Amino acid sequence: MNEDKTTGLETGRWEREAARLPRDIKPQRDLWPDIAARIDSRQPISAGRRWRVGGALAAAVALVALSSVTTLWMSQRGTEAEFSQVVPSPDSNRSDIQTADVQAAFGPDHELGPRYRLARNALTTDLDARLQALPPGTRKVVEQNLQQIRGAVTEINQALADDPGNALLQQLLMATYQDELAVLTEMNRIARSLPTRTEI
Amino acid sequence: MQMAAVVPMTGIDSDADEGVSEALLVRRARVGDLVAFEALYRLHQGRIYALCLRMSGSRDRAEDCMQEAFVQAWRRLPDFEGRSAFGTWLYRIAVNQVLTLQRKEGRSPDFLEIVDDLVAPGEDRPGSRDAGLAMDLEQAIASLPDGARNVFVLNAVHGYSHIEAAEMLGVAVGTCKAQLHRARRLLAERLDR
Repeated sequence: MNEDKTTGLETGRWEREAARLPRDIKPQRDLWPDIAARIDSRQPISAGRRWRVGGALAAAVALVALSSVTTLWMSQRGTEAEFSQVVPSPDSNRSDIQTADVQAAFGPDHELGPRYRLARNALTTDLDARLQALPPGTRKVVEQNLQQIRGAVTEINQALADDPGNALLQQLLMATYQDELAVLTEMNRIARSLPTRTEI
Repeated sequence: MQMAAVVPMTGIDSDADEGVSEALLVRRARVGDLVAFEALYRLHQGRIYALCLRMSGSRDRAEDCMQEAFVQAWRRLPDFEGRSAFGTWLYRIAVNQVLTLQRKEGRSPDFLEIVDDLVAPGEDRPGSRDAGLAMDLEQAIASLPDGARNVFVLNAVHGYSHIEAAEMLGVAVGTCKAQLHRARRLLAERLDR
């Protein structure tokens, strides 16, 4: 028991009672629409902040990866012995895989649309080949970024399996697939832009 | 303070208990996913509102503070590094909003509004005790001076340690303890006599 020496009052009781008060009180009205409106009107910090503008995650991840690739490339440029072990010549005649207009879309049971799957498979195959040509450190960064996105896809899919009708989960999954595609595209672009052995 | 690791999506469209992790939602929201941010809002709105309501002493002010806190959180999300739990980070932003409001406007708590919100149907904890006692206590808390009330709400009601409360309020730990002692004494004087 805590007693105040000056007043003789037992002061701990109300503290204990306060600990039992509800810590969770719902507002009497839904404040989200106002918050969302203010967020929308303020505009995001960077372009494409909202998920609806596809590729936001890709931009962030690609920036990290691009930065890492550039840093690694610059730091290794003078070390031909190390750098020359891989990096094949980019196929200058090869046209880029056009993915910008491919939108993730669900079919029955959340199967992805055929165009999306084709683009994704092509990019993945292409990137897998190019990853082998990257320095180990760069490859690790790219793989970690993709792993993070794919981990998110797995997690959301697991949640969707338990709750297939959840609109939020569906939106999250769609956006994440779109991000994955954008990251694959960006990674391919970066990988192709790396110098070849003969250019060093 | 640990926050839930898994976020049920009950606030949006579903009553399902399963959901995605808060960490995933934070990652998504950090890169601009407004849907993920709404899910985070649904998850934390009750706690943030309770904090703002008790600290600000008015429903309108609590709503203003809460809205501003979430807008600020959205803007600052790219800087959130995950060194603390997302909920704790959000609490800090909300506390800052209330403190800013208190400095700007002073305070004129509307006890009835607070009590009205606190006894709203369905908000009681399971097994809660006498509602009259809770109402008296809420009114007494609302009547405390700002400094004592802020510390008491964070420490005694919401369970933050002296160090955490002091950090959130931008005061020394000793000040925090002194304010808590003051709050205890004032509450005892008002409720026991």
